[in-house]
Amino acid sequence: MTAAPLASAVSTSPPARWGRRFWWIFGAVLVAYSAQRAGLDLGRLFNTRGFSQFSDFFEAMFRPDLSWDFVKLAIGEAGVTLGFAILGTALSVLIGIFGGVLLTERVWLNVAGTSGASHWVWRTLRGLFAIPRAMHEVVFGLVLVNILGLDPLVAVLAIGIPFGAVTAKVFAELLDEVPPDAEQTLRAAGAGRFSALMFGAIPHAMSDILSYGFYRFECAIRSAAVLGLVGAGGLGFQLALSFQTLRYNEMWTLLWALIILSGIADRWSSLVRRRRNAASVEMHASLSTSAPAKDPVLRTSAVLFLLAIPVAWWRLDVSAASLWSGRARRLSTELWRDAFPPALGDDGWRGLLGDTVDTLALAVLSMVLAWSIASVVAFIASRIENPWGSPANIVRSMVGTFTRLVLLIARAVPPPVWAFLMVFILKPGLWPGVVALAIYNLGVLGRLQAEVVENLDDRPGRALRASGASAFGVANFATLPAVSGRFTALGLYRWEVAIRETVTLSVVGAAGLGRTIRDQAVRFDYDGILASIVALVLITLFVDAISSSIRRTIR
Amino acid sequence: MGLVNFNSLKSKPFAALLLVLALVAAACGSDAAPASQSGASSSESGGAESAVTEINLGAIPDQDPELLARNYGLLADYLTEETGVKVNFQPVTAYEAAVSQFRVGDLDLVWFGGLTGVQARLQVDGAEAIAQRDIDAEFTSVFIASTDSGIDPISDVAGLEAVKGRSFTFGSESSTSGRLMPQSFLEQAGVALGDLDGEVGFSGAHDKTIALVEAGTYEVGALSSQVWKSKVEAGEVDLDKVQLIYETPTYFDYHWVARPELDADLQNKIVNALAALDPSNAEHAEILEFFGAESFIGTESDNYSDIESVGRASGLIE
Repeated sequence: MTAAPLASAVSTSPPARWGRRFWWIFGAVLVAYSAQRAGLDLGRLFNTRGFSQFSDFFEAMFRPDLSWDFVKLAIGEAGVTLGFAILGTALSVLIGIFGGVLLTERVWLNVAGTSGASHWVWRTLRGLFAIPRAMHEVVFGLVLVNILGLDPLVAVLAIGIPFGAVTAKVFAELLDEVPPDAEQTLRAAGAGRFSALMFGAIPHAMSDILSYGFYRFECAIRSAAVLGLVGAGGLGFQLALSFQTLRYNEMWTLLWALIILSGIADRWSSLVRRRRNAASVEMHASLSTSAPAKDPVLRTSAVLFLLAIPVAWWRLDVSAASLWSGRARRLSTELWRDAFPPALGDDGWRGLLGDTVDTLALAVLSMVLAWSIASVVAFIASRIENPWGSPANIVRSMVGTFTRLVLLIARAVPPPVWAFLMVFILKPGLWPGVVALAIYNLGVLGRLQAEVVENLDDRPGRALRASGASAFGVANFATLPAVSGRFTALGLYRWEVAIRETVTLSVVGAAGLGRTIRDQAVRFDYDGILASIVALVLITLFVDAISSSIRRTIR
Repeated sequence: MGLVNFNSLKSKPFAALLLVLALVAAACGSDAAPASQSGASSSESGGAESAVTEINLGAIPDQDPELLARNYGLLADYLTEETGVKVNFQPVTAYEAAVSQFRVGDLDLVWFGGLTGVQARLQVDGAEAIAQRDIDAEFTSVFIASTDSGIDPISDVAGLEAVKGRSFTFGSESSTSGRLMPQSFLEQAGVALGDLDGEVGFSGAHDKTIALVEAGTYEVGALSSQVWKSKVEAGEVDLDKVQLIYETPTYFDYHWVARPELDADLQNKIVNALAALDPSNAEHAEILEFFGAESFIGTESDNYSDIESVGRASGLIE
């Protein structure tokens, strides 16, 4: 072993610095290539003539259809969307808890022993769970409707399975981080391996996984709306009907209902999570420091949520029996026979590869746009302490509220609707899809990043200010260093999600694999769909791998 | 481990949470049934010998959703009365979803477009086309162009060559009048999809095609002549921005397709009931007007063999 160079003691060690440099160059090349792929000819980018149609949509925002019949319909459909979200989240937490225990490294080390075989089983399980994680809810919906038909279970499973796989991953990482003390004490006192894990480790991580569940709930509301758009019922379903004939006033009644619903869900989810570790917003598998399972807000929320499950189950008339009905078995066998083996389309490997690269470019460009804007907007949108303290604070607080409303609208309007609107003012191609996904993700990221700002430890900034630093100095030396890591981590996480979301964009000329899957769906070309799904899963895993190595480098 | 901590009831966020629950209850408590609710379908009743107790009627919406629910409701009630079997209406958002639901047996009687009707029949052994509107034997599509494009009206199919090198949008991917037949007429004029400027668009619906051509996003588009005419008559099209350039020759389009579980006797009853809709009866007139037809007539699957071969040629039917 050679002695470490002196410089490393001063700041970052050379390997880490080289790692960062590598990722910067990698990122720049990826963005440049994606932009070139989408086309940079500004003359062919904008379509100024469509602006009046574009603004028609936003004018209707202030004149929603408020006839009582339609409002009644919107309220009823909001209930359906909420029901899907509740049941989908419940299923995902259930899968998450069981799957999380299964995927935990220490289960395989402590319970199953350290043999090579158990390590191999653990690896395989992790790989298996990565597949549903890489598939969008809409893709699950598309498959399930062919097995279950017109059944509310389609939406519940389409949300619950992929969300469950994500939750399992997060829970496994949480469990692996639990200090082993309690478990070891139990073992020493004579407890079996399994019960030591059950009582030593799981309760410790439980409250974190529940609070993470509330984040999934807020995502589930948006998902349920997008699923409705492809035919699963609820607000999105009505939205699709009104959208077909471009009845903007009706669309806005439904959109406002969706905005109110997701506004409440988001606020609830923030409240629950703010009490936990502020940093564990998304995938950050770091345990909260507070004592486990003693948070009253979390507990009450969990109880309310538990009570809502049977209500939703009953209102939506869900019956688990249809899962193992003879028809479902027969149809799934038929579907598998039609879909396997996967087959390439007329354009062969070239076509599939081109679509895959388009999908990647779409996700890269939209995330760069969304993240750059969100990183600025987050500071404006964050809630401040003492909003009524001074006139300046009042103005600042009003601007903040307005910005939060804009962000809420950006994420409540489903991406396919954004995409269609963009085709009015942008020439068809990748760009309308890029902008549509960017707006939607700006809504999501802006809010999460604002939470990071709100939960920032403000002591370094105050210390600097007290010692006479300028506002710029405070921002440069206290605020930015504190948020940049988390901002980047959130951006990378959303990038993984954005790949999945591209499948919802098929209205716009070229939109990669989403467009292709849609085309294959209308041909009932199941083996082609399977090939596209495999490509989508592979590209998501690729992006997951890149994103987690970048996160490790910057940590 | 007790989950409820009653002291927390006093905490302030709890009030917000109660509000949320109240909203849950209010929203869930309304009487609107979920759109994806599944009725007791006749398809699970086993063989053809067992009597059908319920018919699930489905339709692809290319109309105002409120009108759709109202008029299909009227039609379902009318058919219930005439056939003596309970008919439920089930709206569907997407063409291919309607085909899937017909295939799995959740829909027994569906108002399909030409192409989707053929696709649905091919996926269900014994399914038959049973009825159509008077206008469906002579359906047409229109090609429209933005006035800025400088494309002049065309007199015959060969004239569609003018679309070469232009940007172009269809409607929904599996629409007969908005995609299949226009694509076929373009091919007859020697225009392949690769000859267009950029990727061909799929606006998603007839109304959206008009909007996108009006906006100039696409220079040319194709849609159902029925929708075009009704929008023009209603004054909802800006004719300074978009104009009709060509109306295609006629072909067969929309029709009712029934699953084999509905036996011959029941199918006859349905066809007779549809054919008995009379424009001079006020209630019937409302249904017919909604369908944009004077009357319904019986039809047979063979009428759609041309659609099937065009579908096979374009790869939409395999």
